[in-house]
Order: sequence, then structure tokens, then C-alpha cells
Amino acid sequence: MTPHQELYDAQEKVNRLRADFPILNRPLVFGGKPRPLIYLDNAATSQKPRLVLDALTGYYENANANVHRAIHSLGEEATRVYEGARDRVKSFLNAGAREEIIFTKGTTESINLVAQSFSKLLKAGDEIIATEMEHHANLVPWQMAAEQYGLKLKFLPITDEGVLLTDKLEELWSDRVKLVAVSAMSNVLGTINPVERIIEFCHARGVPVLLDGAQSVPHMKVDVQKLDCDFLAFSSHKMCGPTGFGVLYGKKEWLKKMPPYQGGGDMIRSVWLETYEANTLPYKFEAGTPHMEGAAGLHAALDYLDAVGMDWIHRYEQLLLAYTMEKLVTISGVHIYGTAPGKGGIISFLLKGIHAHDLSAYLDSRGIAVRAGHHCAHPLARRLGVVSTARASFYFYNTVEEADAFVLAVHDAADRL
Amino acid sequence: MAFDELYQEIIRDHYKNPRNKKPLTHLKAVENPSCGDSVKVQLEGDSQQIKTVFFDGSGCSISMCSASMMSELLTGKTVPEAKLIVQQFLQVIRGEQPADTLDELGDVAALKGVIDLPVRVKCATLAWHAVEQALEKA
Repeated sequence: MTPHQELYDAQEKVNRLRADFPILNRPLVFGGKPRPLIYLDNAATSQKPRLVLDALTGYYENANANVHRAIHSLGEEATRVYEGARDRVKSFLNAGAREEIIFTKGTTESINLVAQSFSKLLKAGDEIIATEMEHHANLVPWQMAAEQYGLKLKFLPITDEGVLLTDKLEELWSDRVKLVAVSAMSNVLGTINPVERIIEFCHARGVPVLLDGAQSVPHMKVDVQKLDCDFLAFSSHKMCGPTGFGVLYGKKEWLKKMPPYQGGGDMIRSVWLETYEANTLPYKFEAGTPHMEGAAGLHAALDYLDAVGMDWIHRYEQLLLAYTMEKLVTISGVHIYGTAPGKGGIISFLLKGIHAHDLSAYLDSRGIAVRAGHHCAHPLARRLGVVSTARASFYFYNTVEEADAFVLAVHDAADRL
Repeated sequence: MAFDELYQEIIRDHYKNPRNKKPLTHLKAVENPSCGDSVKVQLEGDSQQIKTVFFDGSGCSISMCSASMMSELLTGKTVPEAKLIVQQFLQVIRGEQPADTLDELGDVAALKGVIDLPVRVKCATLAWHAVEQALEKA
């Protein structure tokens, strides 16, 4: 059994899956000669299989009408699509009730919803704990809420390797702490945080936990009842679904107490000129005409992912990451940011003396799509002592050949730049 | 546009051997916070004539070599001449004037490739915005 045998054996399945993704089979032509697309920017967004694309157009070709109270048959069909997607998300997450699945524009809106609405239950001087590694989506909404409601923000630190110092929770704790918001998996470091431990600690003290699942939900099985998280936010577009659509999972006990986030149609039961009566869950938090084809697309994406197998996806990415890291670290001058044990398939890196933009431009000339910058985590970048890094991030449709091409290109970049 | 078109020898040369670069710690930088490119420009001369353009900064090769090329080009020019050249450069990079206009500007012509790469336009123009500010104060 050669090392990486399991990875090589998996290539047959991976290549079969790649055929489902039209965009993976088109060459890159923007700027320069056509070259095969090696898409390694999955942490930014994922590609879509034909099943999802068909669901998007299929919705408009077959079932399009406004949802919920149309009375006419087509409206019923559209409602079935939209509510059917809700049931599908519930089963995907193993949530306890469909009232706990709120559809939003994405992770960012989901977290803004909680930050705004939950904070209305708090008093000035109450505290929220987040971490140094958060994406701006799980940082700025809390900063805004803190300013608006007089809350205090505290932050769990990380080690230089990108490991969250969860032991510091004890030190940061006070009886004013009302919520802990933490990323389940870092979009820069790849660190998969020990959220079960954090949730246990917080629940023992009666405090809820919000998880930013933007990077975790697409890449591993997530069971919200087992995790016992109070809130979980994630986006459709990072898991083979369409953009502009996402989910906030929230325990009923919290969502019932929280006031509505946006006002408008659908989130009401009755309205008079001066007042309104909010609707029941989940509609209370879904104002306006929803993104119906978004729901259809996400439903198809979840079906696709379950057919591929979430546990298989996680395992495959671990194998591909280990393979790539083994080769990458042999390149002289390479620096990897984020080396936490058991991390996910994200590699943020730099080559000594080379700016991340130049590195990424070179990789692009070789057909390799990576991202350069602070990756929407400015405080984390400062903590790591960098301004911008290059980031390669895998998904289950990336191959060993692509990993090889990536490593070779990084190696060559050292000479070319 | 091909990587090679943008990252020619001239660009690499200016990046590795910047002209007129020296520490300018007392000055405030013009920056691009999203990528960390940062440039400071100091004009030596009087209100009519530039003796030397100095710059300081750090960032990607496009931003730094553009700064170096700018300093070389504008050194020794009169203030009105320099202001004209700056406007010319910015207009070409923004696509408002034909790319070949840069051919008269020496090494700067090597930056023509940036026009097709909106993402690097900020890198290329950073130093020119900095010198534009300095020229206003001259």
C-alpha cells in the first residue's frame, strides 16, 4: 500500500463527479492563451453541478409563482418547492423542527439577523465573546450591535499556528456574557474549531452559541441536534447551490423570544395603520418575496451532496490536503499560515519576498485560480503579521493532478518573480 | 493579457532595483488597505521645477515598479509638465486615452498591460495618486 493510495483510488469517483460540473470543463480564456481551469478558490465560492443548474431553470419553467397565499394551483406548486427546500435543509442538518430553519440571503445576513435581533433582548454592559480569527461577517455585525446597544465585545485569542485558545474562555468569562459567536472552520487558517467543547462550556453557564458555518457545512456532516448549537449560519453558494441564498438555523426557544429583523409582507399575521402582529416561525424572520429559485437550487445541491456523501467529502479533502501540504512545504521560501492539527482543505501561504498579488497573478497565468488578500479577516491578518496572503481552497471535485500543477506552479513562481 | 506581457524584464528590473527610493518616515502614505500596497512620495525642488522625485513604500511588484518608473520619469520636469504627465498616465490606465500614448513615456509603457486587468489598476496608479497629491501642494 503506497502512501496516498486511498487518495489515488478516489480519483475515479472524483473524475466522474467532475463531469457533472459544466464550468470545470471549459478552458480559461480571459487574458492570454486558453488553459485548463484549475479552480482552487472554493472557500470563496463553489461550482455548480448540472442538477442544480437544472433546478434553477426548472423552477422558472415549471413552478414559478409567488408563494404562500396564492390559492391558485401554480402558487401551490411554488410553495411546495420553497417549503420542500425548508424540509430538505431540516433533514440535512438533522434539525428538530422546520420552524428552526430560516431562509436568508446567506451567512452574512443570517449573522446580522441574530446580531440585530438577539441584541434587542440585552442590556447595555452585556457582553459578547467572539474570536481573533473571525471573518468580517461574524465580526462587524457584532461591532455594530455593540455600538448600537452598548454591548462589550471580547475576543478569544489564537496561537501562531492558528489554534483557538479555548482555555482562555474561563479568563474572559463574566456573568454579563450573553452570547458566544465562533467560526466552525476558519476561511483563512482552515482550523476546525472544537465547537462541541465551547458549546458545552457555554451551556453549563446558560449562554447560547452562534456558529459561523460558512466553511464547515459545505465540507463535513453537521448535525445541529448533536452539536446542540443555538444558531448556525451558512450559505448556499459555498456548497454547490446558487448565490444570494442561505440559512439561519436557530433553536425555537431563542427565535420565539427574538423580535423580527426586517418588516414587510409575509412576516406579519395582521397589520393596522399603526401596528402589526408578527407571524409565527419561521415566517416571522422572512420578510418579502423569497428567493424561490434559490430554494430550489439549494434543495438540489443538498441532494447532490448527500449522494456524494458528506463524510466522504470531508475524508477526501483531508487526503488531498495532506498530499498537497507534503509537497508544498518542500518549496524553499514557502510559509503556510494555519497549521492546526486536523484542519480543513484551505491553504493560506506566501513565498518569501513575493507579494501575494504577484504570486496569484502568476498562478492565474498557469490556469490556477486562488485568492489573494486578507480574505475578509483584516484583524486575523494583522494578528498573523501579514497584510495579504494567497489562499488555495479545495472541494471534492479537485484532483491530484490539480494539486500537482498547483505545487509546481508555486515552485516555478519562486524563479519567475 | 498574458502574464509575461505584464511582468516583463523592465518591471522586474524596477522592482528589484527601484530608482529614487529612500526612507520617508515623516510622510503619510497613500494606501490600498485591501492588499497592503503603500506609497509615499516626496518632491525635491521648488514650486516650478522638480529636482528629484523620491518615493518609499512596500507592496506588489506592479505598485512598486510603477512608483519607481514614475519617479524616474518626473524627476527633472517642471511642475506643469509633471502634472500633465500624471493626468495622461491616469487617463490611459482608466481607458480614457489610447494605450499607445504611454509609448512616449519611456519605461512606463511597460505598464500598458494593466489596462486590461482592472484588479491591478489600483496597484499601478497608487504612486501616481500620491505624486498628484504632492504636486497639488507644490
